[in-house]
Amino acid sequence: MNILGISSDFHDSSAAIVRDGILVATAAEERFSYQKHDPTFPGLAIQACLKQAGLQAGEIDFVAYHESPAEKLSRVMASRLRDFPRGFLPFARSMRELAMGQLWIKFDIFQSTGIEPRKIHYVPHHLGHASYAFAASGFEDAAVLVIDAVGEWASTSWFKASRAGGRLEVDPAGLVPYPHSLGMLYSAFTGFLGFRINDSECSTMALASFGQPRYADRVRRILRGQGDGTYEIDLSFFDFSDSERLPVSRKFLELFGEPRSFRNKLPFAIFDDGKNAAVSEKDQYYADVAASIQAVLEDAVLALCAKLRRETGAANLCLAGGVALNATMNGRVIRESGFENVFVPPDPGDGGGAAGAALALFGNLPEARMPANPAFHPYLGADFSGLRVDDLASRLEFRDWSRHRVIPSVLGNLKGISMRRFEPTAFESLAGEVAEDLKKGKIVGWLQGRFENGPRALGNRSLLIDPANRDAARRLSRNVKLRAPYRPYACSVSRERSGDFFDQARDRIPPAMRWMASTHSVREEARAKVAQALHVDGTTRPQIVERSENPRFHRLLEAWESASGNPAILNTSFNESGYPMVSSPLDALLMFARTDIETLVLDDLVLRKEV
Amino acid sequence: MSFRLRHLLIRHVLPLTTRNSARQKTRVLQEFAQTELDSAWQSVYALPKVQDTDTRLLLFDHAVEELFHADLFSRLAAEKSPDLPGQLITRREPLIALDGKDQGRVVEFLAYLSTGETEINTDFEVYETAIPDKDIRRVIKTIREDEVWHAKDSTEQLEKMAAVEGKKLSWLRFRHLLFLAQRRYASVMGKFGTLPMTLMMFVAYALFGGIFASQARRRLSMGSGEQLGFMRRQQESFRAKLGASR
Repeated sequence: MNILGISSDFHDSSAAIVRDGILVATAAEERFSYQKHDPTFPGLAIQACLKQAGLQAGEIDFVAYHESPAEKLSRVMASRLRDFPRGFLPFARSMRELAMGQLWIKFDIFQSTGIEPRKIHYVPHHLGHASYAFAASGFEDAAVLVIDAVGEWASTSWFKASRAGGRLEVDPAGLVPYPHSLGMLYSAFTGFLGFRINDSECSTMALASFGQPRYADRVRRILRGQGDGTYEIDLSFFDFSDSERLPVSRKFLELFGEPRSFRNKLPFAIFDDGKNAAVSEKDQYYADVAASIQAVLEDAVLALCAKLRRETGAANLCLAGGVALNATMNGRVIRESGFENVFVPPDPGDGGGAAGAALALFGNLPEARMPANPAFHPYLGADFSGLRVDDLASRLEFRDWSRHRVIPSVLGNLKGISMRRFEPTAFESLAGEVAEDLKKGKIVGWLQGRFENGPRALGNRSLLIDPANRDAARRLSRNVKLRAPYRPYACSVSRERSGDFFDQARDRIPPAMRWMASTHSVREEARAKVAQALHVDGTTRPQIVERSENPRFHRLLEAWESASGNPAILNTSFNESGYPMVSSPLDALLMFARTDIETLVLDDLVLRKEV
Repeated sequence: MSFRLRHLLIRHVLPLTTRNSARQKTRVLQEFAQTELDSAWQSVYALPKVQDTDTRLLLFDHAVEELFHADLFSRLAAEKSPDLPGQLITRREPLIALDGKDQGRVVEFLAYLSTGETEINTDFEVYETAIPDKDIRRVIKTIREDEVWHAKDSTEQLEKMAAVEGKKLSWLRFRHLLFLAQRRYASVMGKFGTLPMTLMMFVAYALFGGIFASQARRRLSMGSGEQLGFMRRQQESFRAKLGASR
């Protein structure tokens, strides 16, 4: 049985294929469209997933769409009409968007794929998130906590899940209704701090580490914990009526002051051991506000976790929804929630919505039985092994790209590009050469196989450097990624050596630690080795690499350790600021041309800039 | 004549020249950035289906430059914007379907590229004189220097490939000019088309908004128990529909 999952029309639209209960392909539209968080109909992602699964559209039995457009319409109408007679313009805008877009989704799917509308089903949004997290976790039973901006009507919900008898049972156990939304609250603070909503929440999280939660009490006036572990939001502090404006009310501004202008650069930096030049009182204030909302969010989620543990008695917890991208929060949940195992899927937000919808649909079919112990991994994107690039790459040496770069190069005059194709059996030599380049302080673009799902680079679309090399890290930030200096990097380390760096990994690896889903303190004696991948608080967001899951990347880590004595590598997503992660070798080649990446590995092809 | 007509239209219709609103300027610059980005994307999307290496190189270089132009416009949009500009996103669809076997379709793509670049070059020539904002003029001048070469290179490649594939150039160009005109018309009508819809919404809002407002408030203040019941019913109904469809 083949199920096509689709999510669209909010952010991070995506497609997925589930075959007989196993997720075989999933991809976000942004990976094909050059538009970060692309919410448009995922026509390109659908084609890529079908191709990856070796299917024609006619072989699809069901299509699972990630939410009910009619329910969403009723929620949006209710939100807009509440303020009647004020708020006509937001009402008109929302209605226009829905009337010209999502309400016709069955027609869009039919037009794009030829799949008959009778095969298309709407899956409750949070049920999809919960099903994805649970199915991927491999747990026999678990409590599942879904936290995002909003589903149809729920903004936080929790489920009891089990796979007893092979059935995927995911049953709702409680919720906090819209508009009491932790996701929207965190996003509102993100906007207040001068960052882009639904995009730069990671910046709020990064900034939080430079501050102290001095204003947590003020935030608690807005987000009030209830005695039973749930919460309530004082809505008088917000104005969600117009999606094009900062969604806070005058009352919020009276409490927190003027929003930070996006033009003012923040002086904080992860380099120089966190000693920041000229931090003004105002800058520190915003960092403290970030720390406050982060701390209050974490406390609220821990209270929810305690409630779930009490009510379900489960030993395992799955986290899902966009808020589960908050790695600092996840770290605290792992350490403090009391659950024995905590799992976060690689794409817990709407990028994983298509996979979730498809899995939920399969789980709810009367005759469906989940396969026993399905091995799950995040490398389910498209692969481009048939794509020919050698002819292009071999003629790039004559190119001068300097005139067409917004980021000036610091590499010096480009004399040419050298190119070498390795035999697939000669991977040892390739890994050895790349390790030598890393040792020389070079920035390596690393692309292999199918791309990973979600926003984290997990060794298939990664930019790599020596994590102890400050100069390389600076160049990576300034001349490749155009990354704000207060945003920290992550690192990869093999499972065998992870205990050298993390106390939590000494006995067994927490599931949420495998794919950069959580931050953890690095052991004091190992910090120098990963100095450039550390945040100011001594934490990092690790990927623990299993040989069985990604053998080539694991082998590269070994080669790197042989060359340098350091088992860890700094690993960050292969993209430029404002663009999604690269997908195909052509995208990688473009970024190689536009930035200071010095060595580019495209599976078995290695390109080097000669300067 | 065509140049004068464009000058007239751009000077009196384009918000960059007619309005001082920073938001409008930002919006138009974002649209320019999106056009350049889409052009880069079209080239990268077409590239794997093209066999001739010279054409492939042309498309690659084209993509590098168009991405650069998109970045220039995006940066300028952020500079001109009074507040953090939102993202402008459009759905990506290949303009010319290529399958990798029929290289005659590649000539169609090159015709699109050549015609499009020539047209943009002419437009930008007008913008350079019509737009009062110096920063915008400077960026457009930088980009136009590239577009002149794009138009020349893509036309040369088109001529070469058309000769190989035995296609008639003037007919190709004419068809693609019509295609461009149709796209522009659709884009303009798309913008005006929202107006009647907004008017209809206004009438509906004014007539019925008051009736449904109290219901809306009641629905939004529903307690979590009631909402949970609703969520369970939604899941049951989903299961029932699935069961019925088997």
